[in-house]
Amino acid sequence: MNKKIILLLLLVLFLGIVIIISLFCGVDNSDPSQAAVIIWQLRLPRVLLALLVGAGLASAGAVFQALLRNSLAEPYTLGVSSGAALGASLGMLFRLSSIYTTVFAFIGSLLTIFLVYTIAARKRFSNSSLILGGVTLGFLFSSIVLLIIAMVRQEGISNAVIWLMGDLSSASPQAIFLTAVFVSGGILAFFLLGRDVDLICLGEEKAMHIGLDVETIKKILFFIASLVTAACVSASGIIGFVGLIIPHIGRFMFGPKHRVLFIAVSLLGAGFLILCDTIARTVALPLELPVGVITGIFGGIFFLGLLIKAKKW
Amino acid sequence: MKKVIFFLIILLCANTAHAEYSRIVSLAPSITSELYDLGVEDKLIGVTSHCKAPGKDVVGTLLDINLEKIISLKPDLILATNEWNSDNSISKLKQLGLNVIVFGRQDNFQKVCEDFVKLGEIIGKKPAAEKMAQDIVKQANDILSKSKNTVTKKVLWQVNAKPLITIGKSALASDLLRFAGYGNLFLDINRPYSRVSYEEAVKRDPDVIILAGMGNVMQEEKEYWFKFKNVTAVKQNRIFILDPYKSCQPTPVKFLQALKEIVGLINYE
Repeated sequence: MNKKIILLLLLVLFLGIVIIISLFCGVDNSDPSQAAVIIWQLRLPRVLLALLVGAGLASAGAVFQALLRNSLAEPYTLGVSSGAALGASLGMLFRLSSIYTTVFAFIGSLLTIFLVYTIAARKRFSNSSLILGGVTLGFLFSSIVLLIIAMVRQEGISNAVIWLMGDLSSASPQAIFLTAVFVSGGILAFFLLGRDVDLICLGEEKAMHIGLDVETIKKILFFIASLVTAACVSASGIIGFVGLIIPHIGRFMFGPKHRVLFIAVSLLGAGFLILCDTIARTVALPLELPVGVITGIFGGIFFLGLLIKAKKW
Repeated sequence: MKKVIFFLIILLCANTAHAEYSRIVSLAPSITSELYDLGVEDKLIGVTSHCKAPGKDVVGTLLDINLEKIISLKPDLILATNEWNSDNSISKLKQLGLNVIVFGRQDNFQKVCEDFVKLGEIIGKKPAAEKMAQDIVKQANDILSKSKNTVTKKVLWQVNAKPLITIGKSALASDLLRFAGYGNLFLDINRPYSRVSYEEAVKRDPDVIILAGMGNVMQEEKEYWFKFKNVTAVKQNRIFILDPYKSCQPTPVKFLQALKEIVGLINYE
């Protein structure tokens, strides 16, 4: 147990260092007022959003992987991201301002959650009904997004494609605040239900015999994890890899106890995404790369190394 | 008699070889617009959905061309651009034995004018095209020679907000700025368009910001920029929104129009 606490403290330290590097590295101090603008108005919102989205996606990913007992599950498995993309492109279609694009994206993902739930509820929330329903709805909505992009000759609609690539640089304070509410609330709920998740992972029937209302707990967890994902996607677009791989790294470091795991993956995901965003912003100056490129390449190589070396898996 | 008929046939063939085309399909808005400038719109039968050509048959979007539709129109000339049209559709059209002429990417004003004259030559309007191009080049050079006296101001030319996408050296708009007497803030990026960070843009301190994009998003972007009081363009209130349809079309006429608009817009004394 002590070892895990030390590891957790190390993660907190890692997160702190990453935040400081991301905020202050490479600022030209010859013009203090310009430096202040860059740090507090441009970098701070970015770092905050990366922290929230990283933590949110990683913890939601851990929830999905645990409940679906599928190591390929991720926050986007239930189609939430495609619903958000559909909402966002509709918002762009009607030329709404960017805050409404966020709101539309959120409504789109809520609609997806609702549909997946309606389908799965008929099958007593079986894992395959959730996955199949989510994946199919995801395809359906992605196709509608492509249909909109193909049919509409309007200039601004190509923004939808850029939006889909994910972007942390442009969050409004309102979007950051909303994401903060959903992500922190979500992680707290995951933590509180962590022991129940442990039991469900031992086997749903066993858990039921102990007296756990498995179906209700699953419903609640899926719903909260989907809400967290929806908030993240609406604020930043689709950022791959974090929700899929960080939970695996977390389990590798901390084992299968979910209370610790949820905290650990939140810290890991936050630090990882801030780091990736800093790299995306600086590695090819004066160009800026989409953050998804960095999460995929750097994270992918790192995880492949871990996979080859580790005795687990 | 036979000789006469033979002679006539030769004459006819020779004539058609050089003859003006009468069923033209244009696969780029700029080419469509140039055909109108040259007054041959009555020969134009097919355009893309991005072209402004009322009453013409639409043969697809800039990126996705409907091959069957093109074939059904029986064109004798197809004008394409390898900047937008897909290589696959172009080579397919060629395979089908259609007469396709492909124009390259136009990264500066000179190339735009050369291509315009080339287009004029193809459709049998070479003298008219040459005269128009010469006239426009002269007007543009007049503006350039006047603008050379002023100190170079750096312009951030933004084509997309959030993420910030700007023009590099090989965008036509970069040449437009040069003619207007301004410098492109990201001239060191040797490609047409590129995503850059707001941080880098703020560091480089533009004197002018031009937002070339759709209205309400760019209006929001303008307000966003006002948060950065240190930036010279914000201090001097030199942030302008420009209609992309007016500013981004690579034709001599549109280039001159955009040039005049920008010079009038920024108007440093």
